[in-house]
Amino acid sequence: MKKIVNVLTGLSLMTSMAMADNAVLAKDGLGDFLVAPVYFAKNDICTKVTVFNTNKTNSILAKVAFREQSSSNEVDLPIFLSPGDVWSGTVCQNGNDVVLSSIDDSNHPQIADVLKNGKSLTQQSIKAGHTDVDFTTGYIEIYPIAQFNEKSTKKVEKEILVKRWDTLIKGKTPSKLVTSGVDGYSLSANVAFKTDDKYTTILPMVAFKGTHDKTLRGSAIAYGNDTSPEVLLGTTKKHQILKLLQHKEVDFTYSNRGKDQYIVFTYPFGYIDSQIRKYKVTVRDMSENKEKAETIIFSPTPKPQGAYMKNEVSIVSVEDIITKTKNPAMFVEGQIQIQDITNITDVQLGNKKHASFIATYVTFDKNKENKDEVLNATNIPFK
Amino acid sequence: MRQISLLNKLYLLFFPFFLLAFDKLYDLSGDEFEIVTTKDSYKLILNKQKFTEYSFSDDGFKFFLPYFTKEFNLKILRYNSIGYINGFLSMDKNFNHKLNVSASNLKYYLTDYKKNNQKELEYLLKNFSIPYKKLTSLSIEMYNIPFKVSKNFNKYLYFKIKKLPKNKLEYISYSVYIVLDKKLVDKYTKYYFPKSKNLIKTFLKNINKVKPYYKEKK
Repeated sequence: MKKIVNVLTGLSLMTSMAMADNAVLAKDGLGDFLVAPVYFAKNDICTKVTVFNTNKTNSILAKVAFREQSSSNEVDLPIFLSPGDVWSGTVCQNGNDVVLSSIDDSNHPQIADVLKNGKSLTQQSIKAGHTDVDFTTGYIEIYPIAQFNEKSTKKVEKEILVKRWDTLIKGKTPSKLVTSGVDGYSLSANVAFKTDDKYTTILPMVAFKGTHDKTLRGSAIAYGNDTSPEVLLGTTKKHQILKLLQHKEVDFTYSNRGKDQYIVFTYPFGYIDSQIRKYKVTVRDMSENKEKAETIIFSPTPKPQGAYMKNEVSIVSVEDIITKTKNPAMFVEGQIQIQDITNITDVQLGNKKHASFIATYVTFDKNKENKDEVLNATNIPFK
Repeated sequence: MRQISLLNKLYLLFFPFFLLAFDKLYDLSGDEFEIVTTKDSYKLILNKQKFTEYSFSDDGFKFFLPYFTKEFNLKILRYNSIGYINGFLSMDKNFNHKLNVSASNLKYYLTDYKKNNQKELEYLLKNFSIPYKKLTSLSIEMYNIPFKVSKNFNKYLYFKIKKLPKNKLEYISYSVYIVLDKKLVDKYTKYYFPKSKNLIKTFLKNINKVKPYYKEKK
């Protein structure tokens, strides 16, 4: 009996070791790498980003990266979170610029005033040399940098956290560093969409666990340097995350002929321009046959070879999909399947491979002042 | 007597002009590394912020892989410039055998001797050149390297930057850490430098001077 128990214990340990070795999608919203699949900073709509350190005794250093929709050109900033601390910032459009504002004490002291007055992500990116950037829509990544076990719930002075990050940049080891990396149970985040200072809906970030097991030191984590999954998480973890996000199909329901309804497809980790993906669409109508067990498939349409998505963030209009069917009037409410989304350039897990993506169902509306607002935003469950 | 072809004569005449210039990313024999000692390992962490400037006259960079490396981790990022990192990684300075592989194939882009599909180092040791295309960052990682492999190290790896006219890459910055097998380093250093008081420092200071470990074994 003892032998069986030993074998079982061994197997259990091996399983947990294997689990610890792999990145997994979090079910509790807590993780060590987080992605907000979409933000809007366009016309009347702003997005507030909030990052929580839910660990009551550990400090966490992290980077928040805003990536624009065309080719994921980024602007990032460091954040310094005490135990139980929160950081937030808001992106809004201001003329031709998208501006990030934050009055949070978790910002680096040297850029606190700049962020208080608003930092143009657009201008920052243009100054760096990028062209054709469009930050009005994009996505956000939260990268872990380091964790410190304070063994106390007391707030840690931000200057101490800044010094620790500086020490890491110099290739040295600050005190209280958790050398096994940032754990998967301490960070969570969300984005909240607002119009006229009224929050209309909130979207939790997609969280991953087991992505950070090596704390980096040196230039790779310097404030001014780009963020990148290969660098901050490692090639293996990047690959595992892409595998977790690789899917054959997305299904969602539509109503009101798909009016004001959109699916946002976010394809992380490509970071190059001219990305194209092809896909197939099947539109099903359920309104006239809802009592029947079978679903009548009126199409596939448009023709598979005619359907392409460009960029790292692609917004697909549900109304447009229905308009392209042979008889759009027939489709009032029902289900749409988008299948075989395939890379046709050598990005993510390769050319001709299924794309890795996060899909978000977004509904827009007009408020009483006739201003745009995000009525609903939901991450579509992975199949 | 063997005849030398006209092409070879021209090559010999202009030989100095064919030499490629590779920036050295770090110097293990200096004091650029913080050394963290554990029971089984020496972890060397580059303790300076390092930047390298590139122009179209530069060819690339090189970095040294010492004996007894168990783990190697080099992270390279664009710094203060845009454009893509394109090029070839090889132990062969002439980059003769270029592979054509998909960027997502871990067999060519990661080394972990505990995993069958991650053997980039095997290709490098056979002098193949591995292409890297359109990257905003470069990560060269090697894990669980056994002694039978690391005894063949003490070699440079070269990254030749492919120059594309429209690319605006001007600077890179990088971080490095190297984990050495403590037992093997200590044994080796004691053999060659019996009077050494600080084995790891002696090992690093003499890294380019000593004979291969495996020849020492009788």
